[in-house]
Amino acid sequence: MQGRQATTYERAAARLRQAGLLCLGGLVAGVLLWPALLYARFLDESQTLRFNGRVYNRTALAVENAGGNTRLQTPYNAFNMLQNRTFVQVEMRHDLVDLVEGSYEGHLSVLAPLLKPLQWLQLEDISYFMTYRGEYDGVWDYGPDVFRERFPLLSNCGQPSKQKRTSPRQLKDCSRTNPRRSLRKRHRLFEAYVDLSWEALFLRIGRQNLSWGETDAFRLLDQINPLDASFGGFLVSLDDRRVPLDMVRAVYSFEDVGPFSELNIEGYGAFDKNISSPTPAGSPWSTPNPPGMRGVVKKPAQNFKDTRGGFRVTARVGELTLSAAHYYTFLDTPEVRIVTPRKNPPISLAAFEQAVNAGLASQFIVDNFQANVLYPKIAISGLTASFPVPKWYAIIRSEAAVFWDEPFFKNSGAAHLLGPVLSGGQITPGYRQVGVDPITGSSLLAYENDIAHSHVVRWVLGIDINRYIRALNPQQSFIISGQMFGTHIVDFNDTSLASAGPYGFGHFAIPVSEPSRQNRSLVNIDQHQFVNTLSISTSFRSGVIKPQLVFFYDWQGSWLVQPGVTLTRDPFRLTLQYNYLDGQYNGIGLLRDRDNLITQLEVVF
Amino acid sequence: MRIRNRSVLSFTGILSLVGLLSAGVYAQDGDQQLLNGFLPYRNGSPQIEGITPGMTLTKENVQLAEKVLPPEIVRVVQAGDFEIPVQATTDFPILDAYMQASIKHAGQVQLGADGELQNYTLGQPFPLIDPADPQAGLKAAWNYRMRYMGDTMTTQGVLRTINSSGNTERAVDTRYSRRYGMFRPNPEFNVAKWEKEGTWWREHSIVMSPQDLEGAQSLTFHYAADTTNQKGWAYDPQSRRTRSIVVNHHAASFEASFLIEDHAGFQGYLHNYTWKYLGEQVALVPGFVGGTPPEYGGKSGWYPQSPWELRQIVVLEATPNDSGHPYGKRRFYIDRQIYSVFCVFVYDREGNHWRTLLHTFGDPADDPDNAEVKGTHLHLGNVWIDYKSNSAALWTADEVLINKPLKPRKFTVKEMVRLGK
Repeated sequence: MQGRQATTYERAAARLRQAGLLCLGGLVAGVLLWPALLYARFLDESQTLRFNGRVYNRTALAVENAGGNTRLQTPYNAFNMLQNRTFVQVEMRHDLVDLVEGSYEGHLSVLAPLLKPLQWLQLEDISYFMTYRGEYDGVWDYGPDVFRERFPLLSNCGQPSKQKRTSPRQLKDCSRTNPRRSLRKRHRLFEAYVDLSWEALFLRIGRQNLSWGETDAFRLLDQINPLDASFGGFLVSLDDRRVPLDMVRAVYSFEDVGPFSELNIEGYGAFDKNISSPTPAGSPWSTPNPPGMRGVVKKPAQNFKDTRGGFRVTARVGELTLSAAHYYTFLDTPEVRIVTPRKNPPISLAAFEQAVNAGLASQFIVDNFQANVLYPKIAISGLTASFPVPKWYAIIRSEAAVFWDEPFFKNSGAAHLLGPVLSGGQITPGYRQVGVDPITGSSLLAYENDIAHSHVVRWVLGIDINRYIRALNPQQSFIISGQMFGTHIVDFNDTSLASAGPYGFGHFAIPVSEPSRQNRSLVNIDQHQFVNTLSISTSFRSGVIKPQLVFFYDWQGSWLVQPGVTLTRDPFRLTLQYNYLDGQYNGIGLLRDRDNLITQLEVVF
Repeated sequence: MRIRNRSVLSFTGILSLVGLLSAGVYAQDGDQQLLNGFLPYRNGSPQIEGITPGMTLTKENVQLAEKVLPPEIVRVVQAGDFEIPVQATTDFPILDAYMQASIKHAGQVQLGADGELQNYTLGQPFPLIDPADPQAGLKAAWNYRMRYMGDTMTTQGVLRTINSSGNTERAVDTRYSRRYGMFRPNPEFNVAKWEKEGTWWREHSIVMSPQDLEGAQSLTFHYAADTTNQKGWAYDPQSRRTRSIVVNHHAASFEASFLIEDHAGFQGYLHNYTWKYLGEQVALVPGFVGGTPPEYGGKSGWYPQSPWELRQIVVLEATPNDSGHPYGKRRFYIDRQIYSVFCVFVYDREGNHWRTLLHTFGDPADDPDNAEVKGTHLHLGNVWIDYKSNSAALWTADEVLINKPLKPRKFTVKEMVRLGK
């Protein structure tokens, strides 16, 4: 026992040492590099090699108790830590033009002979860019107990209840997962690409982010790079969440054609298996999930079939800035297909009935069913248009996109998987008989849940206004940005479960538990969805104090109010932000029990 | 006076006669008047009793310069906030081709009912201004707007927000590029496409540091017609998108204590102001410095420490027509020789002195990178002192390059995409 404790302490000490080293490294790098780099970021006298970077530590504290339906079970009360994220980013940009041309004078000139063959390409510009990101979240080491232990994942752990709050929790014979392993720290060569330019052609080759469209906060045409929702979801800026992909991107400029000026065509092809990182169960930011079963995430392959790509045409016509795009991508929202795995023998109805009667239904489900998490590759086509309204000091932004054949999860009854057992052996929806047990004569069943597909039309209309509100701030203008998002599912299934039968599939839904758990087990979605966003910001004392108020309203009945302020004193940034989420359990309201207060201290150079 | 008479003649439609007259008149004594404007020191430097090169004006002796120093400056010197060393006047002739074109076309340019230039081809549109002309202010403003700044310009420098303790609160390092495409003294530098759409010049800037702004870009098209709205785009490294924006001249630049339209002294629309010509005078203004970055000192480190010099100055006042404008009025001290702004004094709507701009220019002859540049100056530094917020926005150049090749393609949205992350 003592030896075991010692091992535990040693591990904890090692983790703390690692955490400390990362923080210390970031701090030392910041302290050492900042004075040298803040005003002279170039590392060579010819000013071709440049560094930038930032280090921040963000702490999020819960300011309310988690909802009773959360599977965190014994998570956190108000003012427990949800996140203590240390983030280091270092960027390097190197302009190679002089080296290739042989006109470079400086200590990097040793590279000139190696690059001289590139003269053959007759490039106008050549450079490369690299970004390192290091991340560490201390909540897994010194946060609440619940984040330090392996997380009870599967339904054989029993239903969560607050009575089970012990520290550490004692749940015997329970399948657990370990989100700590994947979420605690990460080191990445985040971006690394080469830029090549000729007269009218620009190529970017390597791991990169690419953003199309005109929206803020939520994405329409901007679906090219997946998002990493594992450390704060939509409460974190898009740029922090983008997952770069290995791709080739080209922009060709036609200059002026007919009524169009600056007519450019842009195309890309991404050869990468990375997809969105959903928030794993057990994370402080995960949405409550239905009683769990084993999940298998199927990533894209690195082959032609799973290649992502598309094109965009951009141009100006008078005051209008226009673009049209069509591309293929993997959506961030997975298609969850619950199946009886093909590699397993089919379910024996008799064995199923026996397990249910013995009170071992959960274990039977864990042993025989599997949730395949598939990322659908779909086509997206869209248009954007923006134009200024100088009289209002405003820009009107608009965007419309069609998501072709998007998959939708359909709601099912709470006891849906038990259908054949509870209905006296009927083959309920989702099940099919694949044989008969030669010994018992019982039916052998296979299962696959119903996935529907529909085209979805999404649009946004936005306005950005930059003007003074002198009563509030006589010295600086306000940036006011409002957006309205619309989503329309064309072939919508709104069949209620009552009419589809207790074991059928009904209304379009998301695979997340309803907190009420009455006649529906999952959260239904609306055919027509609308979300409004409003952001108001200004600054005082010449940009030293920057307050901002963000407001989201989801017409399904939920909202976010996010007041914040950033104080700047180079090289430091201190941000205080409050996230107040509430309303119906849908859309942004899925995190309605995660109100939190964020403090972020950042060093930039 | 002769200019106005010719304007009347042209108004009667005898345009050809005007052309002949102007050529003939300016070939004689008119030329001398014009040359006096472009070469104000050819007969010697301005002399003011008690002010000599090498001396330093302090709070004890600033009364010697009360007639030549703007009163807003006298007050801060009297308060002991800074001292002014004095140097000899720098004779800095404008580009000869620009001057010759101004003389050649003198008198042919007129102001339309909308305040736009008519018949403008090249050079300074109104090289001779009659102070009694009710449009004298607007004409001087046009002279400022059409001044010669070279054909291209690239600067790299740091904008710092400095508080009353002299500490830097924020710093933004930017690379800025500008290219003119019309009305070039050397027509080879005109850009046919820009001429066709009336784009006089374009500017692009990109932030080099700090990291949270790094990569932010802006691109603005400035049109020859004052009544044509400028077009702008911005690249946001956070969203990684290039977007069309409205160029709001009244917004604060980089959230510092000056407006977008305060760049280079004034970069707004002339028609949005009522311009009043306050006259020409000898004034003591920040003098030309060598190729090195200027130093700043005095109270809170806000004031240029390089010597000031006596120069022939056009004093101009601009009152916004828009009652919503943050400023009540501005007073400009514009150099008669190069027609660039040395000082601006901003007043709020209640008539209180709010902000002061002090520009520091350099002679390219002193800078090895620009030694071949003729007829325009280097913009080496400027400070916007905000007396309400008790802070200053100080920009100093690390590098200035004039008339280096900059392709028109560098001023396109595609280029912003290329430079973006």
